[in-house]
Amino acid sequence: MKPINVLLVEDNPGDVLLARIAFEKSKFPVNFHVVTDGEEALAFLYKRGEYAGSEVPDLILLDLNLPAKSGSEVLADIKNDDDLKVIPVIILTTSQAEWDVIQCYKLHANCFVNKPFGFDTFDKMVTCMEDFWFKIVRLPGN
Amino acid sequence: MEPQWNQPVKILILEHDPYDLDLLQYELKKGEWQYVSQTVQERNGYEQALRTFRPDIVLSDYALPDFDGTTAFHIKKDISPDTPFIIVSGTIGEENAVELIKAGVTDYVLKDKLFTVVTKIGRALKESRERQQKKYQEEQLADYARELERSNRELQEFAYIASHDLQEPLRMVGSFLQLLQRRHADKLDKEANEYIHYAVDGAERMKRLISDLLNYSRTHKEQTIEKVDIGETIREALKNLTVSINDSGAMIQFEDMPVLHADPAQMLQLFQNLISNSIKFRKEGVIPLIKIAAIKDKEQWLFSVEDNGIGIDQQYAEKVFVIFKKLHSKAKFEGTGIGLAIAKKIVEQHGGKIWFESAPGKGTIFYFTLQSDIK
Repeated sequence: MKPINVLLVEDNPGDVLLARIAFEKSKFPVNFHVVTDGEEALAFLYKRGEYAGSEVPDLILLDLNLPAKSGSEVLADIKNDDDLKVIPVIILTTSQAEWDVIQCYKLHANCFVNKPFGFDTFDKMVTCMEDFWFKIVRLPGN
Repeated sequence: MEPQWNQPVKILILEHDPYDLDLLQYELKKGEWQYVSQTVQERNGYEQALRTFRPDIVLSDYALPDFDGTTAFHIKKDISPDTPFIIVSGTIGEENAVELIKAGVTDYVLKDKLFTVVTKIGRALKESRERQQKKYQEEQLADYARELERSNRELQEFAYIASHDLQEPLRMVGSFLQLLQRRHADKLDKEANEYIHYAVDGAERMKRLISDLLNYSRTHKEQTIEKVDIGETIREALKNLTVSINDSGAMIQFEDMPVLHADPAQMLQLFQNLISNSIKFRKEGVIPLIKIAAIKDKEQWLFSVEDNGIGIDQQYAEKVFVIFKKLHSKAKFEGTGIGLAIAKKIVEQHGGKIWFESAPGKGTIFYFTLQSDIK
């Protein structure tokens, strides 16, 4: 199986570490990439600057609450780009506001997930995500 | 700014005949009030005086060389709409005068009855001041209302943002403590593990408090008012409480319930909170018996939720409704103390009141009122 490229857009180092630990245990081969703000995410996706050699991710995990360019703005940019819009975007946020949920789906988020409380539930969420997105779902180009 | 009336009255006189002006000035001096006056004779001077002298009242002749009293009145209306305007004329007939009053002129004085001018000015000023005072008070009231609305909105946003942003760091505390426990428990001694246990417990309680605060701040003014069948609402609440009803063996009785105009989600929450409280605060070894009733009382429905639980000391009549206020230790009864605070907020947002009758050991009856606009 060829490795799956996951791009995590997350500014909180704690969450990055939690995700990293959870994905490390994955039964799937995962290339885990992390960027910490919206501009950097777009640089990664458009292979600009230091990301010239980056691979197109198979799955994007996007936090909403990012410094400067917000997660929903990044989402809008991705879904407005004919090449990038095929990549599934999972919104991963603490926000429980109904408004955010609706807004994200309107911007064509592929799913909206609340960050779980506690490592155990976080770990379980990542496992579920892997099972669904890497096993059940067929991603473009695979 | 609050209107000030301790200054001399500023009178603008529009009069071209020096003899008539003398007579008028003579009459004005009889007034009890201090005044200063400015006299103008033609249109340009008149317009300028309205703007710069800013009179409290205008006395205008009717027949003027380059324009007439009606035009003078309309000019005044444009420049200074609230200033009273009195026509002083010998030539104006009663009929004409009535027309002018209809058009908005404050009053008129016939020159052969010039002695009435002081009384008429007094009356016009009094009325004008009352109007100004009223306008000022209305503006102040509107200001207060706006300010209150703004601070309410801010408070709501604050509670919402605070509880939302507070969750983020707390998740970190909880998650990493848990990770420490999962991965390194064997390297730590018993004492260290106990410390972690308390810290995890604290973080989890804090999380519940925050999400309750979030719920409380969400119970705000923006309601969806629909027809709500309260009987259905109660059945739905009981369905949601199935686990605790089965665990406690609780019996819940209710008869005919009305259909009301209310927010359905809030009604469900209200009944669910009260019923779950009755189950939670049951007497040990006694099966909870809960009776829900509704009586129509004039324009409203009076609901009661009665239980045979541990009861509440009357001295806590107010306190039980305060957010996060608990009367029992966490070891005895779980929960953050949000249920009745939300119940109160919901009832009040529907224009009703909530209170209880109880004595320790004797059970509790919660009463609340809701507007009855259907049936």
